Amino acid sequence: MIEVKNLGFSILKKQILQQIELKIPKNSFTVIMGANGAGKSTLLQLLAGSLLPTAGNIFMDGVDMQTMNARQLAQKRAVLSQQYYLPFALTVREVVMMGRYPFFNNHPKAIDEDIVNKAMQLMDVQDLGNTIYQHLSGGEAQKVQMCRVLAQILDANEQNEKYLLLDEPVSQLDIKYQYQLMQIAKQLTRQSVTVIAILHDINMALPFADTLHFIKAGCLFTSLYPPFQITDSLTKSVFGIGSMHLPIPNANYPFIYFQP
Amino acid sequence: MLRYPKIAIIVLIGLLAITMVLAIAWGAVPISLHEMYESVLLVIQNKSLNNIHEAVFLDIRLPRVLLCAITGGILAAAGVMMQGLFRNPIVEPGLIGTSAGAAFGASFIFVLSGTLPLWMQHLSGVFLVPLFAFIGSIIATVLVYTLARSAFKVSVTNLLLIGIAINAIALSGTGFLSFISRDPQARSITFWNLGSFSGASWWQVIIVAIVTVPVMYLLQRCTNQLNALMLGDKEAGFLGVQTERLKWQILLLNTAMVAIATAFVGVIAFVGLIVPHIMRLWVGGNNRVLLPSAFLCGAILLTIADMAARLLIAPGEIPIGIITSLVGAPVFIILLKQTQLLQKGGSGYD
Repeated sequence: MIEVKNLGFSILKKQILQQIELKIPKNSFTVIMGANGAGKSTLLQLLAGSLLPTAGNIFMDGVDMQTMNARQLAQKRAVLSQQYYLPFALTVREVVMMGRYPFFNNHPKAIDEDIVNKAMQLMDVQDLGNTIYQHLSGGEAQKVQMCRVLAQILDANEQNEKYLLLDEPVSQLDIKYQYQLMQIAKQLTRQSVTVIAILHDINMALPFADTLHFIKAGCLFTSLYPPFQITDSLTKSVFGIGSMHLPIPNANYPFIYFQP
Repeated sequence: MLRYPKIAIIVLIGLLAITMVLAIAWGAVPISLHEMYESVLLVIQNKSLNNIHEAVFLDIRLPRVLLCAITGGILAAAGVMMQGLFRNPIVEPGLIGTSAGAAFGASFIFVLSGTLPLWMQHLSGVFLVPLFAFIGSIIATVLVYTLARSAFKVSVTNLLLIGIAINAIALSGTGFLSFISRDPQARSITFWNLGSFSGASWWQVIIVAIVTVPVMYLLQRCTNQLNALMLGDKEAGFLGVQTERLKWQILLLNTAMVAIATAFVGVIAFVGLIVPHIMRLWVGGNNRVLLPSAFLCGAILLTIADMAARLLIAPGEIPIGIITSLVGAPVFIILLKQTQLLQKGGSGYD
């Protein structure tokens, strides 16, 4: 479980986030949404530990994150970011193996090779092992990065719970793989992984989320739980655009149609 | 790229052995294999040597070839680490002041050693130039690092920019020393900037080796983290890499290694830039394999270059920096052009 207590972040006198209080229960799928510039990326960076809060604390499994060093953090959580640029040629397998770096010193052990294989099978890139990363298409490269991130957390179990943070992970993927990735993430929540994702598309979030947090102007505007009541006034406040919610047969979440 | 990188290393070791033997055998004084074998036996048995060839072998040729190989390895390895650190294939060890500072230190001794206190001048002249060159390169690099550092971190862009500035200062210092110097001193400065192994001695080999072995061991242990750094500072942090610590560790080790080699040999251009690029085409960008491969390749290439330096106008010698630049630059252009053709969308670096 992650507990966020009175979290604030400011830089150069600009207050980006203030007084954020939330609890992320274990094995849940939490989605954070908000307009551009609302502070969601900053919140994710703080949850990932790459930024330090200027106010408040974040507790990961009861431990203040600021007391953990980079390697300890890396063994507990993995982050998938939006864009990657690799300046030198590496094979796909070498890139995925980087996900196991927090767990071995110089030579990968057998378990590391196993997890790399597992990750590549999960994302269906097992045949690309020896392909050079720079020769991949944008979507394939994003999948390989997901493999690398998965390799960090696939050995999660009840004694060793892990966190997966996704920062708008579906931008480069086609529609089938977008859903595939979300399904893989959802499946991981049944395997001792807690998922926290930033998503732009609310209709992508609704089938998978256990909790929706809306960030507006640096504050936690509201949090929603199933069944999600996404009203016109909510989307107007958070996104600045009105909407209609339409029922989907056989689903316990609506389809949100935006109308300016 | 290779499926089994260990093969590359074995092949390179073999090539290095062959190259070194040839480099020992061919020269103004040719030395046969039999003479090499004999001299080693005689040294082990603590007897005096038979002929002048064996003396040349033991006192001049062998230390020279060894120093050549180690220096080539050092420069290439430093190039790999720098390019990994800067995430850019167009950087080489000299960019952060190491060579320019060394040149200034050496030039200072060439021109102004008379102004030093007598006890310093008596410090065997053989060691005064390397000592000041070493101090010069350390000061220059420390200056670059300190100035490029802001409150919490070192940005590689800043390192490059400050490096350019410090290089310019050191260069103008050397230029000024050249300007006020007498002709023989000016020639010394010029040749020092072109590099030469002609003064190689066992002492130099030992000192350089003592620094290089632990440094290379430590750098090898950094290679996984350097791989992670390729994804960017933040991403490497997510993988558990302490990026600031890694950066200064690598800079420190690199500088020590390059400074000690440059101090004895002078400035040798292009090896640190080209060898990593060549090896990357063969074994790929994984630093764990690239570092030792580049070391071996650098050793081979510099030994060959020194052979050319000694043989082309034998018994005279061409400064080795001329050969590395004259051959290195066109090779670099050819390689770049070839990779542009092979890889889609440019040189693969952008």
